[in-house]
Amino acid sequence: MEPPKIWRERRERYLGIGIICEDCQKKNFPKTRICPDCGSENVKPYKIAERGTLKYFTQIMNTGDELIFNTPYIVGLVELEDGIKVTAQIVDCDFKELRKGMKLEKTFRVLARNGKEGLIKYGFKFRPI
Amino acid sequence: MKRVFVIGVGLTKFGKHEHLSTRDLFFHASKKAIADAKIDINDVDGIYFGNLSSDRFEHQAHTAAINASNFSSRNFPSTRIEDACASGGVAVAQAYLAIKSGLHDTILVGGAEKMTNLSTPEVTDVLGTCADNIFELPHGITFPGLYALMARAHMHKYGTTKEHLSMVAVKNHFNALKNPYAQFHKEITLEKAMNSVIVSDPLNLYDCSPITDGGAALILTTEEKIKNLDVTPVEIVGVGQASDSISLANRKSLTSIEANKIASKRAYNMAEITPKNIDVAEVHDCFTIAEIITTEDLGFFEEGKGGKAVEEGITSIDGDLPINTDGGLKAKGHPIGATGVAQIIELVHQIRGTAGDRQLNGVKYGLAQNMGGSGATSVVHILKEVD
Repeated sequence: MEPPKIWRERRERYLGIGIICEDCQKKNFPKTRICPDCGSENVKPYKIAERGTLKYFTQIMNTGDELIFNTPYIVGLVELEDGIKVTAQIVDCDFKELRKGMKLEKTFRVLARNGKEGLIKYGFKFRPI
Repeated sequence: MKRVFVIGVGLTKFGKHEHLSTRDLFFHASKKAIADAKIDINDVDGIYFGNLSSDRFEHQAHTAAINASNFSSRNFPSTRIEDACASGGVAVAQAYLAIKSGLHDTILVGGAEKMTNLSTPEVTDVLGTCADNIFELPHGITFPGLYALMARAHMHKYGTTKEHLSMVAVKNHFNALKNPYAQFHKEITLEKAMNSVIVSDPLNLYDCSPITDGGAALILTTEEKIKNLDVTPVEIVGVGQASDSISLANRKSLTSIEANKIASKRAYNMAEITPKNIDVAEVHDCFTIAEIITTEDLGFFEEGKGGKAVEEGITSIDGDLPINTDGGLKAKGHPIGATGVAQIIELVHQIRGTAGDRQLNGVKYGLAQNMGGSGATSVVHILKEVD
């Protein structure tokens, strides 16, 4: 499968779809076919929470070809209200304003343009509430 | 069960080799290892080769067979191992298994990486393939970025400081001064390390290992074979390997690397020793915070005390537990596939007394820890002096 098709068909990639296990009730992201906690195959799609708090963050000054013109940008580890942790860019704020524990919300954005896969990549980022 | 010994080591200089490709780097290191072991290539039963991405760096896959073809014995089995930055260490573990199983007697195992022909953003892109390309990489995270998040977590939980990180760089640069194979022979001050350009806050240039070309090789063999050889063998007495979630967000902890803990426990158990028995260690300091976290994971220091140990000089070359006496990845260089093998070469030198100006006294046990990605693969080897 060529990369653009992988991108389009991985809906969970831009919509934030993980799984919830119907046996142990644990939620996980990204989507897997079995529950990484109990091994059950009895899992169903689950849309991750829209809000969370900022755990740790960094400002990226050097990066790969695809995002080189976007530097500097901020990437953080966000703990969502449902306990799921995700890596995502933090936008609409200044690096100096960021604090551990800050409340954030998910926002749908362009992740990269003119990448090697030849298309605009959409996905989620987070912004301060 | 068979015992496995290192009888020969070979290394190229680490740095920029404009006119050498992956195959050349491995060939030069292998020739040295074969000569050091005082054997002939025809005594070798097969090759294990660690390499991350000759595919992306040089548009060349199938490098294992190329390595075999470089010798007259082009028909022996040759296998490439890719486990991100742990490729070299895992190749050694596979070579160990091949001998331990009784299938082979003598193995040439090594690794090489040719990296300096690409630009820094291109190299960042290739290394990025070791993170999750669906759920991590598209969000713009890089390896310095992932380790920066771990540094922030360690600082928050334990009070580790930016000074502690920079002290790792100062120590490893100092050690590399006495290693003729190291990429950098440049002593740095704490002030210089602290004030270098930021790569990914809080990590700056001197917190990051460089882009390097290099090759490393070992000859492993059995107890029976060494009887007829005039060499100083060093025994591999412990091997442990473990994996974890490739993405950092899915780890239980950001302040420790679970795969390191599990891999080292397996190696200690096999060797029937504890961390207290280790006289010297080579750890995977791809970033300075990685050395601090890993020395805690390996049981050398309590969790949160790794930074303090560097500050107190415990891990310095004249300290109680010298770490990265060859300069580490930071100053010796980090040609990905060669790194895990080069770590073992330093232990062999320290144990048999051929470490030159950086020779320690009375080394009986040495430990090498090599890891991939942000810690999703960890492989630990314990080497012991032969009584």
